[in-house]
Amino acid sequence: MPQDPHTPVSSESPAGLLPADGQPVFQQPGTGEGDAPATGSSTGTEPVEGYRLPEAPEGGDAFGGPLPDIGEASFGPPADPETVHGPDDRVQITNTCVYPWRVHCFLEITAADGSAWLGTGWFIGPHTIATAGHVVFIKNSGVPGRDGWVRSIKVWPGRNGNTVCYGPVVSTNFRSVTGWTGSGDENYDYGAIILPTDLGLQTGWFGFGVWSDADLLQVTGNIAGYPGDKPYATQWYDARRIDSVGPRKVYYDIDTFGGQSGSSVYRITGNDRFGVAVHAYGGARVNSGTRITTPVYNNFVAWKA
Amino acid sequence: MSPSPAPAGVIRGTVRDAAGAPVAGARVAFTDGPVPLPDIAAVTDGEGRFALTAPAAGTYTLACREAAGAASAQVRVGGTAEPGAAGRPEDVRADLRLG
Repeated sequence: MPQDPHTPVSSESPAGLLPADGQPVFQQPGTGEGDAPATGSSTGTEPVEGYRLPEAPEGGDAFGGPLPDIGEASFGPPADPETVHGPDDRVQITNTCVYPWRVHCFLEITAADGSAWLGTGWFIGPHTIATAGHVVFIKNSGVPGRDGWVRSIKVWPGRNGNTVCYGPVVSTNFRSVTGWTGSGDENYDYGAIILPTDLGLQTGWFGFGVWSDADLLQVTGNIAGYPGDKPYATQWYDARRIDSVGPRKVYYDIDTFGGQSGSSVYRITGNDRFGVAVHAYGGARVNSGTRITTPVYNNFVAWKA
Repeated sequence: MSPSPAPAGVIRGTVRDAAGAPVAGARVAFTDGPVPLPDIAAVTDGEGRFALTAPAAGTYTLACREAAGAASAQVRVGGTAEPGAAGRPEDVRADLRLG
């Protein structure tokens, strides 16, 4: 039934996306075997030698820097998908066999039509890897035989080129939601890979949670993944302050490239890492990921069980 | 919830090395386009072929960066496929020669 155009709407976030009491809700990370992880830097980034968080635009208030067009408020940032913006700040991670780097997985994907693809995922539990919906389920490809659940994904936790830390483990067991599999709506572009083993007990996993808009706009977003413009299966890292948030999306100017779909967009608190979004799309001024809202959180909790 | 429409086109091509031989296992991804695009990379098949989905009409840039060299191409997807043609997306060609 078509919706009545006079249906009242509110400036409040859509009901049920954020905790009603405004308090964050989160799952704790697990660090797997070995030593305790390094503590994050004072700027909320990973303590990577040679990496420094780029300067934020001048001005601490909403009118202190270059202003985006008001249209971005309704339609999102410009649609032009240049995924590396300005200077390329990405740094290579070579000690990928230690936490937190081994949580990030290089994914070799075989689609239903036999075509091959590369993506990234991250452990959220002993046998569950979060990723983008379009990594596990291809929608509206226009190529006969390609759409639908992918045939299999080979998972390489913490791979560094020819150096293999764990696995690989092959999975044919995937999860997503109808907002993606039925409608192909990018607001619902998230999913999970279920492993046949509890490899995550060795690698560890990231926590994840639901935070308010105001909270997310104060934190540094971190992304590590496997970009396709770098040597094969090498892991790269970058970070920036979160640029903007929508009800179901998070926007950031963290450099990425094809192959990083499914990466964790995560915040660091002390030595704990928490996913706040699943990276999925490249854009002109900023890239974007599917925000971990309450429904996403609940599904991740169910899928890690 | 807004369902995504059928794609405007499919960009098909072959990656070849400097000598003209097809390159299997090369990675191809979009670097520019008219709409936000999934940040995934295609891997060429045994004959160096790939097929990337162009969700909307517009100009797309795709790139391949391998140890054997790099290449990029810019193509226009018009979204001009006949509406009556069972909604078939337009086929657009974009071959890449590593150099």
